[in-house]
Amino acid sequence: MIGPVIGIGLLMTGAALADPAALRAPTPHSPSVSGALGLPELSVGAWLDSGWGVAVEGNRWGSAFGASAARRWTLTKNPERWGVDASVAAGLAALTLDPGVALTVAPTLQAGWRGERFRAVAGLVSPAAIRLNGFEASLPLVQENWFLLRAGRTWLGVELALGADLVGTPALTTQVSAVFSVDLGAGTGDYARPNQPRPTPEPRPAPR
Amino acid sequence: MVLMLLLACAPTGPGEVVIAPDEARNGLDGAEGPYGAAWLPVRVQARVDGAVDAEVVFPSDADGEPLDGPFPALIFVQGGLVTPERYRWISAHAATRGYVGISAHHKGDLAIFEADNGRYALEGVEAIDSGTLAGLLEPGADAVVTGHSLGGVVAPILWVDDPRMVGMAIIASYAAASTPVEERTDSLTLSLTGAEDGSALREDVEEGWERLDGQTWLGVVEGMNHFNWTDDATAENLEGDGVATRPQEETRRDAVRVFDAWMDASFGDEQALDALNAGGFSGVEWRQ
Repeated sequence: MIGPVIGIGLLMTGAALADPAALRAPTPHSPSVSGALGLPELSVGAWLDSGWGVAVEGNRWGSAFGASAARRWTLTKNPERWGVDASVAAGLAALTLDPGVALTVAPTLQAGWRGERFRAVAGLVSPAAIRLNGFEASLPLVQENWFLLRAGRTWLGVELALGADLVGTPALTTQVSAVFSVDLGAGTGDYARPNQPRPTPEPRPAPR
Repeated sequence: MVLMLLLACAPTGPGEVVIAPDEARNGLDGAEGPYGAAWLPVRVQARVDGAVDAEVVFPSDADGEPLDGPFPALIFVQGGLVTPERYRWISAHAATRGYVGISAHHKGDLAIFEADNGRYALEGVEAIDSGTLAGLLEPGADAVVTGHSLGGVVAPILWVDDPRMVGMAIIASYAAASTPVEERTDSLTLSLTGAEDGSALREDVEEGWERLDGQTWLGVVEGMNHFNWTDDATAENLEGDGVATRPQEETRRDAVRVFDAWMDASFGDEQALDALNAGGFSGVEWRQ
């Protein structure tokens, strides 16, 4: 029974959020435009060259839509393109069904393979929201997985996420998204080996 | 688009009539009451920036316009993999007797994943101040909660810590061991099941009922199976169920006779409370 229940849960729409998920797509660390279009969340974002990003987000119910700014960092990396990244997004969301404003914060930790053609990254994110008019909080903890393939300057893939809102009685949070990202920079990947200087060729002996 | 969403929050126009009003009905002995019953879908804000969809069944006139409220609320929690629509008959029956039935939708039709949805739906409907549903409920007023099967596991979760819930009924189910139902003794509780239920086994239901404290009753409806409680039971539903030995119309009538008494008593009707304490409901094996 547990297997089908989890399977159904993964396929169903979830309990959150206005969350700038597009900014968590594991695209190259260069300027890019990304979108995570799924259930229940929809977001489009852009990373700038400086390591800062911006996004707009909403959900399928239209119960909230907002805008966020984000910063990202590479914590560790190695020449085989494995690495660990962190980011924090923060913004404001307008609540529409019960009108109000919420502060949104989404700290993220991601680890995985960031190759030049394929990326598989797992992460933990807590896309929290705090209603500012009449205090109420939502604090989900979500495990999410990203799988992206490169086609030229475009990356295409999926995001699958499962978690729980930990405020009050825990509630399941799920997300299934189609993901795209257009790399506006060099597109060489985040953890590329630094260019090695070529050995200076030995001078050919002068012909006798 | 935003305007459409706001309208979705506060539906306008008449509801869809489920039961037409009939002044000849008296709402006694398991019969429907004199009011009509109509329903509307609603979407409410939940968990700050999320949302919950629900259906609201309310006392109405013949055109589906709501009668003047406020009315007491009944939260109904759906069973696992059974849509709320299949339980609408229970809320409609209650609406003819002057109650507002609220059934929240849950992810995958599995209420355990979003146990709070019923509470969000209640509070959301209470907050509606325009449109058809405005004024149907009094914000913060007492309410009762019930659920069938998996919904009967979730209903105690909604009830146990919420003093607004002055009554809780478990239908064909029992509370999870992790839900501290023993700790609450100040409201009326009912466990109602069918004698031929093949999903919620009788010994489990009885054991679950024995955990309830305070004023509590157990009713076992003769000849009723698990899916007699739902409309449109499928062959797959019935495959694992017991065989009902009486017509559904009869078993439902016997069941709602008890259910009505519990609801009325929960909202302070002394005569209904006396009836529960006296037992003697037709077609129902009774313990208290």
